[in-house]
Amino acid sequence: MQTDVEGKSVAARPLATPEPQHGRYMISIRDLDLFYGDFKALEDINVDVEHNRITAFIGPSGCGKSSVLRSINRLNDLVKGARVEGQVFLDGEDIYGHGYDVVELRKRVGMVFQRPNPFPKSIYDNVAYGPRIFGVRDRAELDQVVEESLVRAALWDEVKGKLKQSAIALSGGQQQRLCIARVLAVEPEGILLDEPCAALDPIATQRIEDLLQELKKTYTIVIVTHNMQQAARLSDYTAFFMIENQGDPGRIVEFGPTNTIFTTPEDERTERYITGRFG
Amino acid sequence: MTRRDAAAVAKPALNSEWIVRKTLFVFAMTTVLGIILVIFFVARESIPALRQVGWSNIFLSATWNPNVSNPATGHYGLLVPLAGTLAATLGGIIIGGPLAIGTAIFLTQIAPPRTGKLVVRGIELLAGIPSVIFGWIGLVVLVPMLARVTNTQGYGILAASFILGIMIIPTVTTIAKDALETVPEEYKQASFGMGATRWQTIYKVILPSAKEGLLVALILGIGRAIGETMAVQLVIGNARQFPNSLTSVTSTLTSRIVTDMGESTGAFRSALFVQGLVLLIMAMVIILLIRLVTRKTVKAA
Repeated sequence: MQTDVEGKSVAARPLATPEPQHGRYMISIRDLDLFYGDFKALEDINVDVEHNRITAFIGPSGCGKSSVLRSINRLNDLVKGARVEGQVFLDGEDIYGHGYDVVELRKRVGMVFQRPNPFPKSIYDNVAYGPRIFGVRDRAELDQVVEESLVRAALWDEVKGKLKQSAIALSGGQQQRLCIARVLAVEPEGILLDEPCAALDPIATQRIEDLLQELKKTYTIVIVTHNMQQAARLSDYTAFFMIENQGDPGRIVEFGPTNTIFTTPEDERTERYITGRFG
Repeated sequence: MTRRDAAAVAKPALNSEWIVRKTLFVFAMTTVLGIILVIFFVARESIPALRQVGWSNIFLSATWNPNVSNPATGHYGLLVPLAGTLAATLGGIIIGGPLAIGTAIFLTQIAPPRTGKLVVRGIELLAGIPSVIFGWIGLVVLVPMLARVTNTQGYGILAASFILGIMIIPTVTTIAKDALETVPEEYKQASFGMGATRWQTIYKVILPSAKEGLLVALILGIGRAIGETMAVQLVIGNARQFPNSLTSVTSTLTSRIVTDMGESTGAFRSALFVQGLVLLIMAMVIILLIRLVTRKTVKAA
């Protein structure tokens, strides 16, 4: 018997639920394989991402955590030779299905990257970028979106007096929160974060973590992290990724509520990883 | 090994290093000396015309009427060729600039590798074609074509603009391509990740991020166009009148020099050097512009 984050006991969930359950889960990944050319990078990935929860992907470097993240908003489409088999459901609809609107998908599920990557534009223009590409022209409306997004990203107080200044002049932590604000500005439902604190100092990291805890009230969050303490502190569910041997595809060894993964993992490899014996 | 042997090995090594260093220094200084001598020589040769004909009669006059038998009494106003140079250059940039930058965008953002390689080879070939060939093609193909379309003789600003537009493509494309390639991949990812289309990403993120480099590419293109001589001389018409329409026959600074230098003496010849001096100053202004643009980039980064 396992317990979920609210302490209610739930039936132990098998890794591969045959039918995706809608309603509770925003994203359901089913039997996902990912190829880069001939190389099989991921095999048999099954994950359910619950609404308004933080789901963490942990595991050693190069085991495909980021690739899974990128396949959730189809950023792998940009990689030449990348090919996906299996399904990724967003609210019950297969995002790899024929004729699925990728633009709409990426609007609904935004991405924050490892290195803060604000555009070399003003703070204002960075946040207004998304609304503008989706056709918002009205100045007052843009002003409002920019302010709201910056407030939600806990950056407003630090930048409200200098919205016209270049985003490049901000500190790394501020830049990363700006990138989060930029994603929030298009009113997504989910936010994917690919090691968002890897380039940040502990204090900036702390601020991002606080922010994510706040954001999960409104958004569904998936975060890739190298930092196991971060996953333990932050997330409600954790998926542990691993590659068995060099050249093998990455797989999910174990997926479940974070406290279970970190206290009583079922798989010996998970235990060895979280206790720091490898990886 | 005896001590003498060791010394024999060590000493030549030291000497050869010294020789290489000094030789390279001399090579480098030759370039500097060369440009100084060119400026000095052109400036010195310009003085007789400025003295005998007068500043205002050269820089503020549009009359070009050399007197071969008594050069000092001729009219050597350079406003017409100066206007011709500016007009043809502007036309060249208007025609060639978008083509070249569009090509660079295609190469860096859109082209599949094989197509891209084909285009790059084509541009390299274009860069290798001697300018007289461009002029010749202009003369036998473009000018008759323009003559038919515009109902004029076909020579003039428009013909020169087309030729220059094609000729600057390799310069502008190459520099613009480098500038676009330095735009970090992260910007693209961020833009695509939010649902921007390829065109939106190019137009709103990539081009603004590369704008200094693109500006430098265009300025270098202008520099290339201003200095072009043979191709322009063959199609511009070499007339002494102001360019007042696209099909005006006129002349440029370079075409004036190359057309008249054979028969010129005294103040006439010196007046041509004044035009050369103006070209040199334009080149320096262009270098200055590039420095200004790139300095701003360094500060921003």
